[in-house]
Amino acid sequence: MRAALDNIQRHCGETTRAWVLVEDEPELVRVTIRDDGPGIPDGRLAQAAAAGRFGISHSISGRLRDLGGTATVSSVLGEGTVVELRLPCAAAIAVATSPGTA
Amino acid sequence: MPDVNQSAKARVMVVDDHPMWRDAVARDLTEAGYAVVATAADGAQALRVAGAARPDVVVLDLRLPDMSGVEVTRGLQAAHPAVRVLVLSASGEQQDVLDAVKAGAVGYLLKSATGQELLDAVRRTADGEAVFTPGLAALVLGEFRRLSAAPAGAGRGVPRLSERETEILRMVATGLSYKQIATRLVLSHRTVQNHVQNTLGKLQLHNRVELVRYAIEHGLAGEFEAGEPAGS
Repeated sequence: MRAALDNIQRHCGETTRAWVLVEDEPELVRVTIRDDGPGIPDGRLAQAAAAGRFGISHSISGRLRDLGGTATVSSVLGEGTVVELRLPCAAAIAVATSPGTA
Repeated sequence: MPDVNQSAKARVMVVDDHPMWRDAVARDLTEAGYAVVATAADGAQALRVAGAARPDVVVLDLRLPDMSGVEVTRGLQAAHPAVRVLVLSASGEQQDVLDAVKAGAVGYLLKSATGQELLDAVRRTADGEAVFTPGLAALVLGEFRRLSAAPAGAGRGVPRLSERETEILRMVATGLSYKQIATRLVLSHRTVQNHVQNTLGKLQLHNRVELVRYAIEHGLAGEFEAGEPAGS
C-alpha cells in the first residue's frame, strides 16, 4: 500500500487526490487505492519492466504474490489509476503479527 | 449559480448552537433562494419548532449542547417522516454520522465544507438525493459487512447489499462521482443515485425493526410512540 501511495506521489501532480479503502471481508482483506491523476498509458508498465524498472511488478504484485494474494492495476487515461490488493485472511494475520514487516 | 427549481424554494431549518455559524448558514441559504423557516440552538428547540415550521430539510449539527444529533434525527423522523435531515459534523465523528444515517439522516457534510458545497448538499437533499461522501460510503459498506458477519440466528431480516450496490458503494468510497460511476457502469445518473439511496433505506429499515424489537423485548413499546421523542 505504501508503494502504491509512493507511486502516486512520484508520478502524479500536486493536485491529484488519492483514496484508500480497506475492506475486512470474511476470507480476505482488500485494499483499494485510487487516484484521480493522469492514468497510466497502455503498455507503459510492460515497457518499464522491460527497461529494468520493476516498481509495480516487484514491489506491489511480487510482495502480494509471496503472501498468497493478488494485486491488480487498472487505469483509465485522464481518469486515474486503481490498485487493488487482495490478501487472504490467514496471510493478513501473519503480516499483522510478524514484527518487522514493512 | 443556484439553479431555480423546486428545491430552491424548499423550506429549511438550521440547527446549530453556534450563533455566528447558524446565522451565516441561514443567510447563505436565504440568498440562494431557500426559505429558512426556523433556526434552533439546541435539540429540544429543534424538535419543538419543527412541527410549526414544517421544514422540508433540516441542516443539523451533530454536536448540540442538550442531546445528540442522532437523537434529534430520530425524534424528527418519528414526528415528521417526510423531513430530510442533512447532518453536519466535524471530522472524526464517523460513528455518530453512521448512527445518524441509521436514524434516518439522508445526507452528511463535513463542517469544513465550503459555502458552495453546503448549498449544493442542501439542494440535493431537498431533491431527495442521498448526499454521500467517500467516507460515508466506506462506513456503510463496513456496517453491512458487520451485520452480515453477525452470528447465525440473529441473521433473520439482516439486510444485505446486492452485488451492484456493493460495486457502486465501493466506487463512491474511492472518490468516483455519480457521473463517473454512471459512465463506467453504463447506467443513468438517476439509477446510480437510486442504488446509493437504497443502501441507506435498507440500513434505516433494519434499524427501525431492531428498535421495535428491542422495545418489545424490554417492555418499552409504549415509549416509542411516534411524535414523542425520548426525553421530552
